[in-house]
Amino acid sequence: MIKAVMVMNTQGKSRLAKFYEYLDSRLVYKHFATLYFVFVFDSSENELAVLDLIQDVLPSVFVETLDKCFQNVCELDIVFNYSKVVSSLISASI
Amino acid sequence: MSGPSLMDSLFQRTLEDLIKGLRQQLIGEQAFISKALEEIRKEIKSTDLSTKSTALLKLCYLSNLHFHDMSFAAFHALEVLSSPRFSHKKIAYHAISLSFHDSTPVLLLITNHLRKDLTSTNEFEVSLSLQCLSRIANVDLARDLTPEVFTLLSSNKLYVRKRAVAVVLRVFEKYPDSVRVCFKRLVENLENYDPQILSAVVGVFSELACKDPRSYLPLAPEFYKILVDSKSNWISIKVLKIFAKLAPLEPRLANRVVEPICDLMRKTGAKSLLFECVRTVVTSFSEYESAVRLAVGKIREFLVDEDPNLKYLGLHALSIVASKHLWVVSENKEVVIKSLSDPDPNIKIESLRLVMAMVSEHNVAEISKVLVNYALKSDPLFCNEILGSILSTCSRNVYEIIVDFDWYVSLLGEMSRIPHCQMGEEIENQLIDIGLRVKDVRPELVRVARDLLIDPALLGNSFLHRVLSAAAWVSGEYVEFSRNPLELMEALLQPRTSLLPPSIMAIYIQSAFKVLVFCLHTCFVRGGSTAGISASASYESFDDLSVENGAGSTVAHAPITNESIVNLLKLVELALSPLLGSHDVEVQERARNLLGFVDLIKLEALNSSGQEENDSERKGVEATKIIRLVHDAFSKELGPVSLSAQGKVPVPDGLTLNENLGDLETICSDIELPSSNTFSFGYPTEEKDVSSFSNLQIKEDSGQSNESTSLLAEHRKRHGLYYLPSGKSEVISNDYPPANDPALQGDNNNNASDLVKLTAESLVSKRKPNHSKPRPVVVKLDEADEKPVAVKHPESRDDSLSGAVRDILFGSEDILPTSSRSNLPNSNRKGKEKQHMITQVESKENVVDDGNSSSRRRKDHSHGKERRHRKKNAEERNETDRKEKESSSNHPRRHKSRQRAEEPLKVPPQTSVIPDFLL
Repeated sequence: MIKAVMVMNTQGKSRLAKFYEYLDSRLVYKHFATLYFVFVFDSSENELAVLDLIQDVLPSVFVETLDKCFQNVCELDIVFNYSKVVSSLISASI
Repeated sequence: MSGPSLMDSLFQRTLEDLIKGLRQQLIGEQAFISKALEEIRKEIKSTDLSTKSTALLKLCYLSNLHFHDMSFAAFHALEVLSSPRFSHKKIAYHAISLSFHDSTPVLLLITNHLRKDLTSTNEFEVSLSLQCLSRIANVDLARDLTPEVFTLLSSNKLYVRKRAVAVVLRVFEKYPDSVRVCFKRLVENLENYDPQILSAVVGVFSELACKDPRSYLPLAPEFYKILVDSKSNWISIKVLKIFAKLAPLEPRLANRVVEPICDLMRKTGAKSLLFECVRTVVTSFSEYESAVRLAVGKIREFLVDEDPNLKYLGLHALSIVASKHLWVVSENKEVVIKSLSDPDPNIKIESLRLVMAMVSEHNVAEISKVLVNYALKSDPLFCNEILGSILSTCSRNVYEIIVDFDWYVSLLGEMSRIPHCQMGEEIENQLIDIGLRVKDVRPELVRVARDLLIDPALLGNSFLHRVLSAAAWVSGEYVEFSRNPLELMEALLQPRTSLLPPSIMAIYIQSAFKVLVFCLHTCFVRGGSTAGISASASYESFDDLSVENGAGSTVAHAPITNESIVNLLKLVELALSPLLGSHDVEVQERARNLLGFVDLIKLEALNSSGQEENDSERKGVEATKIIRLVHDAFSKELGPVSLSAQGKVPVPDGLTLNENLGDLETICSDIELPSSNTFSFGYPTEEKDVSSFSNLQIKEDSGQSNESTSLLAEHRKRHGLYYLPSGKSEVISNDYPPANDPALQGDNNNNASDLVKLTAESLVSKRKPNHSKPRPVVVKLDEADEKPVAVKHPESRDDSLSGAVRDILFGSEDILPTSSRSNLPNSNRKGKEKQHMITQVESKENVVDDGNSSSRRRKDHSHGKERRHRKKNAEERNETDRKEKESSSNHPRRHKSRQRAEEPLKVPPQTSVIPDFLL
């Protein structure tokens, strides 16, 4: 089960933080441009699968969705349109 | 800030404005945020829903990213929720999922809203509320909304059904009885072909199975089908995880599943799936040699891959395998050792762990050497990791893998000198521990200690202070093994010791005391008459070593002449006089003790310089007596007292422990409390026999020792039971001949007899002393074996959940007492009885076979009957099942609707009898 999703920039300033619970076990992160997407999950998730998730699903689903919202999404968009980002994250995660 | 201007109040700031303002940082973040919060509080009270919702949104943002509490907005969120507009609802639900928790007071009010939205025709509204429910559901909400969730589980809209399935997990967790209602539908969804639904369902089951695998064993056939047919990696991974949990419970299942898993391993291109297969195999299928081999081959591929992620995972998998198949690790030894120097710290740590797993008696020396080399080259963090793991591995099980203690002790000394070493405390513990337990290594220990003490540079290194304190204690305690006590004294009293913290200085002083007494004793009292050291021995050269065989082998010492004694005493005075005024109580006390002692014997000792050693009259009877006493006191070994001994002491009648001690003054004012150092005197018990105490002499002469020794003896008399017998700490298994130190020529003579002695000792069971010494710097030798008692609290809820699940899957029954319970942790629930699984299985099969529902109601089942029944059913099963695995597994489910629980039951995990669906 994925415990948390965090998106932060290079200074560690969090752009988006959705914690599903505060329990951390393993962490996978991936660097996209200036953003780090961090996934925290427990032992019932396969690490590589989550990495796959970030690498493939995330860009395709999440970022695409954001693209549709904002036309060529960039970090600022995530910053400024917090609510939309959150809702698309929720929908994408299902 | 004055109140909002007209301008401000006309135009509410949107979230964007908020964010922009925040980023602009005109007035500083905190100030801006507090201003914004003020605004929000005002806006949120407005009656206009749009204003409210924007305020709510801003609040969410602030709360989420800047961690502000938003619980004051709870009620307002509810108000926004009732808006017909979807965007408002979205914001409201978002706010609710973020901020509501079990103790939010308005949680009760939300039920109706949720219900309304759950039954709405707009699928997005439904999904919003489902999402929210999954975050905030508590027992009441779960209970009240179960019917709605139930309906939605079979909804036509994919979008909704997916989310309903996901919600089910949370609902089940909070309100286990909902299982009875919803489980069937959930399981039906397992057969759904849509990958999204399937992945949701499988995800739910994998979570559930992680917590309680046994309950879901009957669903194994479905999972099997999914495993074999699945096209999606994600789903396969989840199913594999489920099987990893199920397989250990049921060997026949494991048998069936191994093949497909191996197939998957061979065919798949996806690394994630491959890794999961490997992981599953090594975790749960480690008995299947071919599977393990295949897995190991794949692990090797991972290990040599360039990608550090894969390397790390390979190492991780290897460490899982290592616990059962050590040969795998040895095969891949080179790779593992190479990874020790990998730039990635995670990889380094994993490979270190693997290397430690490979350690055994034979290779511990080489591996330690290799590791210490690595440690020297690495950064401080990893260096300490290495040292820490060496220390913990070697000390495991009372030094089980160490055969050559001399080598180990010198390794400890070496480790202390490694620049980055911060493991001082652990090294200290081990040095003392080994000193206590392993008698034969004491000479070597003293040698190592001497090396440490002599080096003035080490005194400056604060990490090493603990090690030095151990070294000092060791040299004091086992001074008789030292080759050059005079040198030791100088080392202990060197001026740089002032760099040490007071507690350690105190140890140094006390050790100096012991060494001094030993020297005096050797010189004056023994006069060289014992231990093969004749009167003239004190004039012998340093190199001539004679070793005493049998009890207490001593090493010949550097000549301890009278002059050297005189010098020694002068040195002591010189070194300790400044400490007499020390601020630290301990230091001052011990310094005074030692100087006091010196004063007592000084006159005679000085006078006797140049005289014959056996001339006791000239030396003064007093001094000799004193020396003798003190020496005897120091030479008796005090055994450790068990930690729990105090607890075992019954409180004597008439003693109220909690009484105010104010009265003590009047009672005790006339008693002169003995000085502290005398508490180190003591008499070890020979046995636990209390009567032996009367045989122990209590020395009267020495004013110093009188009082405390009698007190201590008194105490032992009363509570001798709680003192561990003395011989104990010397018992340890050492399978090795005494160290072949070239200097200790004498040792070689007695290898044979020593070996015999040692082998004999090794057969005696090891002792585990556990207590602190009666010293100020208490070194805890506790093997505090407090195995963390596995907390079973989460099981209470899981139990009701698994109970409910089992009811559904196996058929519910009345409460049955059972004769055979497997010994599982949550089997001791008070009050409620648990059902016998066998009965359940039986009843399930009975349902199929003869639809006899009354058979389900049987309360008293004899075990034999069940077994026969079970076998019969199993056979029947076998025949019918061969072809129609699927359909037969469907049968029980169709009849599930007939099964209703009578009352909520807690079902124990019993020795499972799984219907032989797969055979």
